[in-house]
Amino acid sequence: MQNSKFNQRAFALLAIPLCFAIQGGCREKAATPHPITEAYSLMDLGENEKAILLLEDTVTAAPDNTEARVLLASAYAGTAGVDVYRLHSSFQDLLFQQPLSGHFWGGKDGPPGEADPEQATRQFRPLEKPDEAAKSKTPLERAIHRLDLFLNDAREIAMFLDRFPRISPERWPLLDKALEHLMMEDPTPDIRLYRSFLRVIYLKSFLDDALFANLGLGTREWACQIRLYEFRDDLTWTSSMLFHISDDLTKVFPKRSMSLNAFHGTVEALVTELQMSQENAPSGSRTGLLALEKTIKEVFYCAEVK
Amino acid sequence: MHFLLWLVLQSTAALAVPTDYAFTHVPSRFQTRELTASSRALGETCLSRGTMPDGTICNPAFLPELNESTLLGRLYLGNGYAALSTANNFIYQPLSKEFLQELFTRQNVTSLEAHAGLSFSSRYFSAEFSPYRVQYTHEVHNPNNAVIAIHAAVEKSFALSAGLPLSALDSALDGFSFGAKLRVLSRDFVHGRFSMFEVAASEEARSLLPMRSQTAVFVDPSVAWTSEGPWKKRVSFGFSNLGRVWPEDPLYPEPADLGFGLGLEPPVGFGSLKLGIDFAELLHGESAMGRFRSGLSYRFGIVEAMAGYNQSATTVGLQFGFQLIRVGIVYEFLRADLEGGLSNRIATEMSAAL
Repeated sequence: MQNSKFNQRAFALLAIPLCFAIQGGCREKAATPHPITEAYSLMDLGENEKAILLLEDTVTAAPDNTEARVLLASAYAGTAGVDVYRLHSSFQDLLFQQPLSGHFWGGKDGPPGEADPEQATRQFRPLEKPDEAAKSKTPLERAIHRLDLFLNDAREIAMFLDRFPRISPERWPLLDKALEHLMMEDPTPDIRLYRSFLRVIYLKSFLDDALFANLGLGTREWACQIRLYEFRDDLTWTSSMLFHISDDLTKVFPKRSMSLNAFHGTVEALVTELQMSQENAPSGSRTGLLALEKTIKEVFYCAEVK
Repeated sequence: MHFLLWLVLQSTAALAVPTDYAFTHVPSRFQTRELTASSRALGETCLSRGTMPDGTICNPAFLPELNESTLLGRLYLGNGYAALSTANNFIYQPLSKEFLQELFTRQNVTSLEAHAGLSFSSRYFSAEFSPYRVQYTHEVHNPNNAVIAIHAAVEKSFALSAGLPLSALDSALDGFSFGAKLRVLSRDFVHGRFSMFEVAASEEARSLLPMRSQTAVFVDPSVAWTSEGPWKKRVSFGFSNLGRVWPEDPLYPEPADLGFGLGLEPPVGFGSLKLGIDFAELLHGESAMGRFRSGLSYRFGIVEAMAGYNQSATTVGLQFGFQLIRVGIVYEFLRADLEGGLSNRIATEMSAAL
């Protein structure tokens, strides 16, 4: 019994200091969460603006931190109103449940990777090969013909883009910032896909604002109000967006054709036509585009339109 | 002893898991060795505890205290039952993009733990076989660009324990006992995160969550002292995870470590009360509170009420022990899951004495 008591004390004397020595000797880890972890939490709560402040610092300190940049881009997109959950059905529809060929990609409902080259050729109207009929037309006839094709394609694309939200113009700088942070050397396929979606939403918002908002689109009244300089700039921007979308999507899915290419071809053809009108301006006119605009207004008897 | 210290010091370098970064660690409660209702409800105390409410022994040094032999079949199921097939799919089935895409449509946070096992305990010796222990959690983050974090693991394990009173060697060591547990486990798991766009852009779904496997052999020796008399004081030291894991994986560092437990069974008028405090992972624990575990239980008749506290969770539980069937229920107030913050979990256990 005495032995036992001795053992108890010895055990306790040995145990307690050893325990606390070990406890004290171990370094405590900081409890501050990593900025990226904190940013995720903030965005889960919908506090995108706070996440932007946090992530801007992180990205400034480490510009090569891809995760931080993608997260920052998503925070800007969220602030602009691009919420994947809110758009879930669109994304589901587009990415997952239905074959992509029914939407971005023209052609058969085949498995991924199966292209329909015939359709791709049929839908894309390359600028290098304008149709023969157009060659014999006057510049005015060609411009009106191209404009007609453009309006026709635009109506189709409007139906496709209808599923996406419209971001109001005052929030476009946020989309610019989001895209700016997604621009990086050798992006991964998911980043290409993400920025394609942002661009599609941006494009839809822009076309809505610049084109589809006008209820008289394609009518004589619309033709009479057209400002070809602005219109050409809008088309150039649209063409650039379509080019980037197409470029990214082609790199993600190289074997698929995209029906957006058709619209891109139409836009490019019209831009080229307008460009040619400017470059081949008759001597004495200030600009060819203004001359073309004037001619269009004469052809449509715009003086009679009130 | 030198060999043990060498093993302990050797393993220090294995602690390279960046725990402050998103989705780079396994949820803390998935790191527990014992997945039983008793262990969970008692705050995962082990070293300080003699017989567990379910009649088994966690600390092998206390095996000489067992009076009865039991053969127990056990089924433990944490909440999120619906995710069981999902977890199995991750480990046993080929992954498809459609399956991964469908996960984004589910609840933002889903978690599941389940365990089926067989254990035999007798005085001086016990054996446990767990053919199936599954852990699964997924969390969806960032609605602006949805990202899902997934952890799924299936383990099989076998453990043999032996314990001896040291008084058999020398009467001066009366009250002291020594025990050791040999554990062999094999683990298949997936852990990772990906965005909706990564799924859409991937060519092969499995490449987003490659399967990883580990095999481990560990020995957990411990020394304990139990007082005689009504208060039944207990002191115990134990080494854990002495052994080898291959291949090593930062997700499951499992370094060799040291623990310390203090237990008490104060006499009460009715029933029996047991209190225990463990200081686990003394060498590699993340913080002082991370090392602290406490649990108490009060048994009256066929019911044993339990409560526990550790850094991950505060728990309460009940164990009903009938002649053949035992039922346990645990309610956990979790403080930190993967990244999901505060949440509650309920788990049930059914065990049968065979």
